[in-house]
Amino acid sequence: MKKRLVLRGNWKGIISSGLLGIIFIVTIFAPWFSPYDPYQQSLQDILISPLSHYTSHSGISLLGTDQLGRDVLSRLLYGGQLSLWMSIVSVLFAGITGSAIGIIAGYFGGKVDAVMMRLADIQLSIPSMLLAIVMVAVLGSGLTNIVIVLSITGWVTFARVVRSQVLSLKEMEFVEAAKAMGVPSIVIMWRHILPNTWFTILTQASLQMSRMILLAASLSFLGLGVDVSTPTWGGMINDGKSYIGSAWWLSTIPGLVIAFVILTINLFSDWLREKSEG
Amino acid sequence: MKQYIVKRFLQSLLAILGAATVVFFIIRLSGDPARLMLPPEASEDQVAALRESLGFNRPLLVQYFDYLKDMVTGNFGNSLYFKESALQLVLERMPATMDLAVSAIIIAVVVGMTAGVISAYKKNTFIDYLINIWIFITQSLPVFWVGIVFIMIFANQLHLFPTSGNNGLISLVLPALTLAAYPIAPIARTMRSSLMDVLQQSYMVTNKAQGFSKRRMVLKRGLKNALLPVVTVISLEFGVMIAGAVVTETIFSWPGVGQLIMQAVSNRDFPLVQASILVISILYILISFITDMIYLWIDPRIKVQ
Repeated sequence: MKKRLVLRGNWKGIISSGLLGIIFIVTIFAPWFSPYDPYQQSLQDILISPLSHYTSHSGISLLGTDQLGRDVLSRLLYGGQLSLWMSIVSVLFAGITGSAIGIIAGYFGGKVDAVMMRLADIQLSIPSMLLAIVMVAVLGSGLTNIVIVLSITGWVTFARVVRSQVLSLKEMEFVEAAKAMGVPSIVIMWRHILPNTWFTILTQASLQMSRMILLAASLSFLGLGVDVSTPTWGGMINDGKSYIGSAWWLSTIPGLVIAFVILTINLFSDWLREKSEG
Repeated sequence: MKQYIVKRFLQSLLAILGAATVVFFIIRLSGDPARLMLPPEASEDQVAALRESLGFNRPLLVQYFDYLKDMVTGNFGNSLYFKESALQLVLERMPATMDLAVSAIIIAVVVGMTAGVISAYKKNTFIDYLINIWIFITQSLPVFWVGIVFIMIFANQLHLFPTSGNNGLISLVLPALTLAAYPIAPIARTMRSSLMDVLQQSYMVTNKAQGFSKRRMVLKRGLKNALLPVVTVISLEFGVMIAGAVVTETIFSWPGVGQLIMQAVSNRDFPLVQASILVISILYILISFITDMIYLWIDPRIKVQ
């Protein structure tokens, strides 16, 4: 009976975390799971359709090959490694700075709050997609720069959401009590406020994760991603764009993979939000 | 009320100043903007000449204030590639982007609101679940992928629409549908939850007790009262759409500002990039200002506060 109850309220959480686990394992261990070398070009095997045999050797290509004869499945797995890694690191950076700013602004209020929130407003006056495009255009499109740009576009949401929660938290009795006992601000923020914002931060992080994957993919699609030969999901869709008449799988399959991953992450965020709302 | 309008207006001006400042400093992030604007093989002399002609050798603050002064007078600099006024180039491309964004927002509003109303009206029925699943899925699809799939199905296979370019209304269909695909979801979701809230309000319960039909209640009273949050989402999405048009315009070679930005980026034509981004940001800020004014007009409660 109890088991069933747990399952009923949490099916979203169970399914999505299970799938996320699989996605992470498969991409992290891409070298073990991918059937071929993602960089191996082969002139005889150009644009082989899914589920057909290679000409140069006896293997089967599950998801076909691209315009240079590279195995699409292998590139998807390696590409996933990079795409997910980029967004995880960016969410971490954005989450840490954003939440810290949100807690500080909310807790101290007054001038500190005003300055930080105006900064956030200023950044929001430029649509994040455009901000990302100019920054990559100026800084150049290496992996590090993409992570920097993604993190910069992400901190504001964390700061705002966390700040609004801190505003109500700091009126709570346990915070008042700690203040009255002379506990230093930094300790109050770290020991009493931060632990109570975890759920908000986590929910926000998973929402931002899907946003970052999409933004990173859009940048690669516009040709502003990491360099062209390195597989990324957005880059693969972009490469396949020129072959949509002859090789449908090149763009379609990576797109479906992105959609599936984001769907899973969104399901997970949905579950987190339901949990936090009780 | 007048105070509120003035305050919102000043806030918008401040936001524009903020956007201009951010763009100014981003362009100078690399340390040497003149180098950035020339091809890698350009000689030191050429870089020095450009630095001189664009005034990058002056102190940063002087550059900044001159830049703001120029902006106020409508001077956004000249495009390095086209050798024309950058603002002029952007404004020439604006109508195409607006065509696209306005048709897309109309599609998104009509489809999204209808879906939201149906799903609130038929709460917890099969059709409600179906709409919810659809909303959930469209939120996960990358825009550029939707565009490519549309081209594959409707242009390459069925030959219903052209794959790219701007040749009249028929070529607007696929790009507009692509751009509309995403915002349908937030509009429908907001419509649904807002209408469900309203239907539970005591005046609606009274209406029900008075024997009004459910359909009449939803359409006549409910919808009107549920509209406010939806207006916010629509305006937000419209702003994002104008910026997001970069991707859609690139897929369909639609000759709008988005395509211009991408061309300017690949030509290292940063004065043009700067002007395009500023114009779009100003538009974005204006939209949010106008939304607040519409709000003021629909919801008299704000006037009191």
